Amino acid sequence: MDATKDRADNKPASALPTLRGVQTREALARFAGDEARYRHWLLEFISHGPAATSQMREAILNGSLETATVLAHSFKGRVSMLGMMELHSIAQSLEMTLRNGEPTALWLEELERTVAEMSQQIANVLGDRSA
Amino acid sequence: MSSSFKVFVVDDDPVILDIMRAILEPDCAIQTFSSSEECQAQVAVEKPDLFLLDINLPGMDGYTYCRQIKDDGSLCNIPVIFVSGNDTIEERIRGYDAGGEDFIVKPFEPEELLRKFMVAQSMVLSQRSLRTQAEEAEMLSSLVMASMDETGILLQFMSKLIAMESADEVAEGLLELMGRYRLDGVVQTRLGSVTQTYSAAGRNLPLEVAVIEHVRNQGRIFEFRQRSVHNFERITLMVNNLPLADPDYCGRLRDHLSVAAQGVDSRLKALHVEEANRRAQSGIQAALESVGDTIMELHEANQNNSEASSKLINDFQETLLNSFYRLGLTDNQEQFLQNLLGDFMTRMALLLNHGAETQETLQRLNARLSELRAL
Repeated sequence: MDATKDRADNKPASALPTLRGVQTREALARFAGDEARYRHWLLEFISHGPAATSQMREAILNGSLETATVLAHSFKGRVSMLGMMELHSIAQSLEMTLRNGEPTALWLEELERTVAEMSQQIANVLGDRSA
Repeated sequence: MSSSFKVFVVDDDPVILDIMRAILEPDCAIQTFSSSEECQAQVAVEKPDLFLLDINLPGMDGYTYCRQIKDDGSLCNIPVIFVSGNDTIEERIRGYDAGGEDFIVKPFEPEELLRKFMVAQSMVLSQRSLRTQAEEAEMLSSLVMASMDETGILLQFMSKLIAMESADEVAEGLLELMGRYRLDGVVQTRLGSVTQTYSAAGRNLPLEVAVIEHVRNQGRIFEFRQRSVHNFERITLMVNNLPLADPDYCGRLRDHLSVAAQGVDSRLKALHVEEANRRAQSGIQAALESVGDTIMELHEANQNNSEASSKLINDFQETLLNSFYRLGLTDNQEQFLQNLLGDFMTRMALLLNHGAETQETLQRLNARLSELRAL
């Protein structure tokens, strides 16, 4: 009857190990249960996450708050889709801080630290050789 | 679902594009672009059925691109769903103002995206169906209008036909009707012993007459190549240029011409009957006049005879009375003869009176005949 719900609920039992701070089940559903696809982007985060935070820091240091805001916004979108809801909250706070012209150091450091932890965790758990 | 339903997704994040692809690929033909400009280039080649636009994009943002889409007459009916990382009322209002149809917030659940996709798809397919129905209705309406126009021409002809008084007039009217249908042709009328063949080129042209004589016995409706022949007892109508490229129009023309030819046949029959009646009436009139003349001759002859008889009797009476004194008759004899003469004169006068009655009868008969002739 409800094709969308049937399709969305068709979440295969994940063979993915548990990742702290990541809603893997929900995120895997977004990839239509395609674990390889999801795994690919999780592993890609190992390099992308730190690179993105570096770009944000550089933009803030250069006074390019608009660029920093766009970067924070994009980062927020990606981590939310990957199920990294803790990172999503931090990125959202940083974006709001940037938009409001408030000091960003606290949220930026928090974001960098959490991204580093997440990257490390993914590398450890999913066994990426590049981490 | 239809894989021919095309969705263009614009987002600068490859993760989002990959997720969109994973969710929607089973249900549609999806193409992904990392910027509005990249998408624009592809839209110039082919148009999608649905846009999914991120708002924060490098270069042209999603709102601006949406406004461009909605300002383009060839694209404005394609629904746009915004995909935004910000769920604020301001963002939604901006999306609405830009002309977007829907709004979805990251992180979205697959179920939500699929639902919105299906609503948009249903809307597009409904619009497409409505457009098709509207086009069909318009086409049907044009056909009905054309048909009404054609029927109007036929009705006009039929109403004029009733008042037509000769085969010439009927044939010319039928040729005019064919002309209004943009048809060329030949009409032959057969009224009594008179057969006439008419066309725009003239009357009784030998070749046309020969062709009509050949086809007039080929059945009620006879067609060969671009020609169509309608045969009735008193009329044959041949069309030379039937528009075979338009079968619907051809079919309607056949019906109209058949009705017109049938009407003409009836009118010619009526004209024939009217002509016969006229002739019969004319014969009766001539006969009445002849009878009247004969009565008048009889009347005159009878009158002459009466006058002659009366004069002759008077002469006889006068001669006889004058002869009495020469005969030397006695008074009694003279009285006897006078009585005898008087008696015969009275009887003769009675006879002459009968003759006067006959005269009166003849006069009344003549007066009645005059009345009948005047009718």
